[in-house]
Amino acid sequence: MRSACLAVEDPDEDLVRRVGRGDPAAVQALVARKLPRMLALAQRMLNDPAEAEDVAQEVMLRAWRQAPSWRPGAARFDTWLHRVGLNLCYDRLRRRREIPTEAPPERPDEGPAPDRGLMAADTGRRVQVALAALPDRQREALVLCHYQELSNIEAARLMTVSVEALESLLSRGRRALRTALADIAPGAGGG
Amino acid sequence: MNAERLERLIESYGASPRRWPQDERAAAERLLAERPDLRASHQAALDLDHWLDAVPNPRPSMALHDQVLASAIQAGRRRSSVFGLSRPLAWLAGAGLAAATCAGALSGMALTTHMTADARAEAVYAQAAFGVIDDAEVLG
Repeated sequence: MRSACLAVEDPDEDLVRRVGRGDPAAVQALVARKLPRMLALAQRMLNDPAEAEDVAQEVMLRAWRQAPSWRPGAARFDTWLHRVGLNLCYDRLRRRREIPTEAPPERPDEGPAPDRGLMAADTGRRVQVALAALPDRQREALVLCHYQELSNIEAARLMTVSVEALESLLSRGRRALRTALADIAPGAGGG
Repeated sequence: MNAERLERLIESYGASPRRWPQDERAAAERLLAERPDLRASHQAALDLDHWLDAVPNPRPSMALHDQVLASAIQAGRRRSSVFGLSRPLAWLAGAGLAAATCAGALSGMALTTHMTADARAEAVYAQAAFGVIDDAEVLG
């Protein structure tokens, strides 16, 4: 069993160091690189554009605070951002469960629509609804591996599960999506 | 790599080899090329991948972009007030970023300033310090 601190190669290391020193160009570069990524993470976890914007903004605020004291080598900055973002998303998901809103975020029209001639945009909306209906952990696994394109090791560590457990969450999530989207003709996704 | 494992990879990570575990990718691709009987499940996974990709990728609005830049300035001002004049570079409070940031965004927007976040960010940092975790422990 290895217990030594393993150095982690981090493609953002130099950028974060420059942000920590107050380099305005680095700040702009970090925003360009990470804000879309954090917004995508939050939107797919929460399925609510306004909440996703709040989360993305909060993650970036924490990045500014963390950058000057960031210690490279222990974790990738991107992984840390994902951890912060996921925690914020789970806070909001918990709040939703505790305080049910009158109008839950977009979950309409889950029924099949075989005659609708689904175009890619319609397919996207259907998939988004189906994704939102998945159990949180299955959705998290799919979001991290499919959309955020994290490696299986990174995703499993973020979720504090084994790779085997991650694969189980992924395959159950994909199976549920396939069932929910069974009426969509192959190729409707535009691929 | 065997057929059972390849099917598991496809079921879990989808059809694209770039999402398969790096250490299994080459062998899995070879096996897939050799096993026409696995192509149906690969095609089913490919369809689902296309559906997943049909979900629009949200793009930050200009307002959000500007708010985030403004929050960097805000954070910089906080830091510079803590460190005072002894800090050679007032962290991000300089004119360069301010000029780059839309003035309208600065005037009208409420900044997200949850000051209690610092402590939690530190805790999360420790949580994310994965280098200390043994691979075997993670893999079970």
